[in-house]
Amino acid sequence: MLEKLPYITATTLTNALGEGNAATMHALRNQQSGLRKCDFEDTGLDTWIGRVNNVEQVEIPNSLKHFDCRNNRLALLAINQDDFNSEISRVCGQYGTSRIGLFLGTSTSGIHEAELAYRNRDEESGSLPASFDLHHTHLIHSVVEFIRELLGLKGPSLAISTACSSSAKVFAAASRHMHVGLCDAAIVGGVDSLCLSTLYGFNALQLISPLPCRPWDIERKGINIGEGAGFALLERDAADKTSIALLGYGESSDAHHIATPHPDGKGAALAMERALQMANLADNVIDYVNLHGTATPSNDSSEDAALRSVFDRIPPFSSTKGWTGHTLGAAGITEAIIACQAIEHGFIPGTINTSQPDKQLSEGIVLETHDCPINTVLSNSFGFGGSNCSLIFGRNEP
Amino acid sequence: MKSVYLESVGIAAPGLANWPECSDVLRGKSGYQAQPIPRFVPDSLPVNERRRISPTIRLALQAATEAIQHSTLDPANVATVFATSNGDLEICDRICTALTLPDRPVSPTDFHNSIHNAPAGYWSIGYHCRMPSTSISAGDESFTAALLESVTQVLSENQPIMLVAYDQPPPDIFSTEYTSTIPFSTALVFTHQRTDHSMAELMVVPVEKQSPQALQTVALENLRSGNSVAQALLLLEMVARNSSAECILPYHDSGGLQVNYLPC
Repeated sequence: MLEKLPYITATTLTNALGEGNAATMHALRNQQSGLRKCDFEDTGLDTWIGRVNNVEQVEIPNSLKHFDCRNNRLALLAINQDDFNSEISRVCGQYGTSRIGLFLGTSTSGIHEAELAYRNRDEESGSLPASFDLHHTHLIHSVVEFIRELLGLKGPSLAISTACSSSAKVFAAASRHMHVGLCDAAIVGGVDSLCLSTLYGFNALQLISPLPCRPWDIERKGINIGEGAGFALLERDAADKTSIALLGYGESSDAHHIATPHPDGKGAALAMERALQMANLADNVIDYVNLHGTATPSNDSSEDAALRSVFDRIPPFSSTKGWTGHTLGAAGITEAIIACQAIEHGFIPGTINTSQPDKQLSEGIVLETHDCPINTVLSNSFGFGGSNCSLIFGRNEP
Repeated sequence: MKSVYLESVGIAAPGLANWPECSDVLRGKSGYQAQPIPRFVPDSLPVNERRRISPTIRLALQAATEAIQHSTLDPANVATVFATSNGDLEICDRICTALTLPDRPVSPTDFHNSIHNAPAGYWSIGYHCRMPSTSISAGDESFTAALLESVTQVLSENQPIMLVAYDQPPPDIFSTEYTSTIPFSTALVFTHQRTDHSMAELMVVPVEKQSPQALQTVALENLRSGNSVAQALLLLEMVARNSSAECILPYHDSGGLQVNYLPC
């Protein structure tokens, strides 16, 4: 097991709440959800979505035009916020580009390009338009290759795609690559953008909510799909030893069903237990749990069962899906960065839209954002395929 | 980096129905003939789940099942890394086609099977495995990246791991766009300590060079260039020949991953 995990020395987050970390912070503190009635293209679905404004206007640099797709535009929009680029320049100078790893999560990559190409198939031959570039837009690895070329990185890199745990698991992969000496720093993150496959796919599974999603609520009816991108810079050492660090990660599989979580939350509990064991905190003190909290009936009850089995007394907890929507492959990084913000600025985000917590579930869900000192946060991400990942953030030397 | 130990191997590719057969071809003991892959029934899965899986998922499970059967480890205790350059383009084709039809009737089964980690999910269900599992892609270098990811896991977590790399040729609509034209999957089980069953000791080192590598088994060169994860054959050839050797797997523009092989 790893003894020393990396510091988080820079972050940036873009989602339906706006571009850059401050936009998310501002919305969380002012009870402003980013959800809107579904207005993505010509979808006639009765649901709400978390859509990022201005993705359509993003210009991919000429030399990288072959990567042009909604997912990579969103990635570019996000990485240009919060002065993240100058932190990358710093580490490139400090460690060298071949010593910086790149680990990004996505669930659907640029599949929307393929969806559009299918609408424009040749009437006679049925072939896709010549302009469609499968490799550089649609394939899972596209966003990694795009960011790698954009930043001129030469270290180890890969895309993780484990549905909604994708961009939580990148923290574990990066930590291990750093631990065995393959890199000194790593950029981790996740990017997932709106597309028809997820909207109609989750609709076919009857998992999307016609109303703004209400995690933990007796009236919860499913998810709202969101899009988002976030990046974090991990370093083995930090100039400021009070910087926030990754304290533990835990990964597990449900071994139960491809699209339904284990009703007793066994896999989820195992992920949390493994993260707690690695973090080795005195009395396992967690100040706040950011739930996976999708607002599907089955996720929330399964996650609750897992929390009950892990904690004698469940820490304050909330779900931020009602603010951002469920950003799927970007959910892990979105909530990891919210966790870091909660520690840095001392607040617990509330659970917007939820008004009647389900009495079958554990009491104590935080409904309204409020200030309080936070030293440790556990963030849960669970995905289809039974893929679970829990992360713990805090200060090494509080 | 420290060494890891290779415990067992599985394979499914045309003319290489299983590891003993593949090993004979790679050692030059028998010739190569590209026969179709024998049909595999994933007995570990409940009948309902078995019916739902796609040819791509089946291909991945085939090599994985063989590798775990050749090992002495309990599959419930083996973490997994699954790698493919993109997974299931056949399902993607059906979903994208459905999205052009009135009411956009995406099949729920297609949708949940379209996740990149579907083979990993079915594997965990079949073998009641709650160990961590990562599904990755690194384009045409997916095997190399998966090998690095597997080695980092073995060395960091001190636990056995199975690497499963697979790529299925896409439906015709994508064929001009795609590297893999021949189905191929392989699985390798690694441990952090030598066991009675260890086949070899492996050490991987990223290098700043990329010397052109070719298989000694010339007849398999078409297969190696016909599937993006079949770069694995460079490593598998060392395993079959079982003498000290090294190879360089392609990794990134100007670099490679050197694999040093030492028989146990």
